[in-house]
Amino acid sequence: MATTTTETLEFPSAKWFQALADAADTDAERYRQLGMVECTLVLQVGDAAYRLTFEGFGCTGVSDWDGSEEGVDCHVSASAEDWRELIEHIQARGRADIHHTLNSLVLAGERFHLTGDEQLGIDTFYRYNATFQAFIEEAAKIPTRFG
Amino acid sequence: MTTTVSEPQTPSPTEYADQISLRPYAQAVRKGDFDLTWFNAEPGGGIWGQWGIKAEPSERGITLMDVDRASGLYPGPHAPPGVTPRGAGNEPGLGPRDWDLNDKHELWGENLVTLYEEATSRQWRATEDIDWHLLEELPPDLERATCQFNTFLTMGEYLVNDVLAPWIPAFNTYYHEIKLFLATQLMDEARHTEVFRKRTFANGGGLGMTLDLGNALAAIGATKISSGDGPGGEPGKNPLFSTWDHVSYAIHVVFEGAILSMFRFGEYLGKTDLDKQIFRMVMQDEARHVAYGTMHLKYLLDNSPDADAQLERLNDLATASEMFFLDLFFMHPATVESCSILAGDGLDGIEKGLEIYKMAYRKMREEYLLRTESAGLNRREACMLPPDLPF
Repeated sequence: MATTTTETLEFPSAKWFQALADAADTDAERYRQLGMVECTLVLQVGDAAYRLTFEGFGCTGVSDWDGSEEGVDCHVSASAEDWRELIEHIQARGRADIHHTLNSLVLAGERFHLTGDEQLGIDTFYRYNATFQAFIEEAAKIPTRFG
Repeated sequence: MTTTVSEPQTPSPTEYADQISLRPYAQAVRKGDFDLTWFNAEPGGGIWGQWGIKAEPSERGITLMDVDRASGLYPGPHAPPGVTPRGAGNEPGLGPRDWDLNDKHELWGENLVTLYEEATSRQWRATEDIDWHLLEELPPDLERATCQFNTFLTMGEYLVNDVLAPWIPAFNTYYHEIKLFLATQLMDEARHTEVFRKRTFANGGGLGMTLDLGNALAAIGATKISSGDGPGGEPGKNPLFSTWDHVSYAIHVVFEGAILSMFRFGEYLGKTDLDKQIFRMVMQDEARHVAYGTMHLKYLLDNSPDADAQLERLNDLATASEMFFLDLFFMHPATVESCSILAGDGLDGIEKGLEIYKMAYRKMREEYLLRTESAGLNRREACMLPPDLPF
């Protein structure tokens, strides 16, 4: 069983996002209750980007994104500064407030952007939204150093 | 002179017990002579289906996809007339049964099986899975706007069920996937009605004003059922609900697509963690319905034997649907104003909020156009939803 890291990890990095996946694994029952997910997201943090694969009930793969759109459903992108603000906010509060949920941020479209090659791929962001929101809020458990 | 026709009398329980004890099967069983037709039938011989199939469970358990893979019983383009589940045999002498929808292109979507499994996996309970303790008291104008928005959504949800439910018996059981998926959708819509109703009564407010949307859809549903229009009857007078293709397009693609955008907007507008949570959960359900509608539209256009005529009919339908829902939905004062008050953080901010409402409308319209385009129906030039709302 995965455990939550006590090591301070640099953001952004694949290792940091893997730590989110590990943190989610320690709360597997919650994610099983939220339900199955079949989706691949690319999270773009400024110039860096990471590919996260969700299968079954959790995140099963994290890697640096190689630029390929094959199998990718959608992208969530923002500047490194805006991601940092989101993560620091979650870490201070324990979870996102009403202004910092993923859907709110991408719907406003000012700082965070939701894009994809096909609308059906983009729609997966809505289909699994509660899982993704819980997943990003795992950031509260990750000691973080901003690069 | 009138003639009285005597109807057979219902026997008393004792008489009935005596009658069934005289039946040949009862007499044979009493002698130890069992029928066992089903037991002795050769697999694949007509009475029994297959034998020796072992679907392997995955981490999630055994899915319908696992069963199809193990059995090889994927749905073909045409269903046989009858009540036989796909892959089963038939009792000797079992007669045919007519269904309204017997061809795969009329109902299928390539994501239908996975969406059903997703739906069953992602069910939730409005009573227990919502953190009701997170509700906070809101200023009266925001609570009133929240309740009006939820009232509108309450009506929309259960009226979708009124339209969809009568269609379930229209599908041949050979295509069990569509029957099962629609059953999950009915549960989803019921839960949405439930959660919005609970929200309006949970924070010092209550249900607000009923809109024409409700009356219009209710009238259509009542007419359809009572007159025999729709499934099992003549095509309905309202083209939005006369055939399954039309129902699915009007409900799954246009209506639910718009509601999905409303739910996303509702999450954005939510003034408490609880309101955010509710809209995240309903958003997920609605996105499944839209995903089916989009992929069914694509399958229909890719496989219909009269695709050109189908495209023409669907374009006509889209024109009617877009106007119907724009009028009853995005242009209704109670919807425009409740959303604008929430977006503007109060009645004083209604004009600022209106701009945000218009932004959400533009996103809804664009997502609708992208969905129809991906399915093979290009509505960009003909769309009756204007690029911007006229205020």
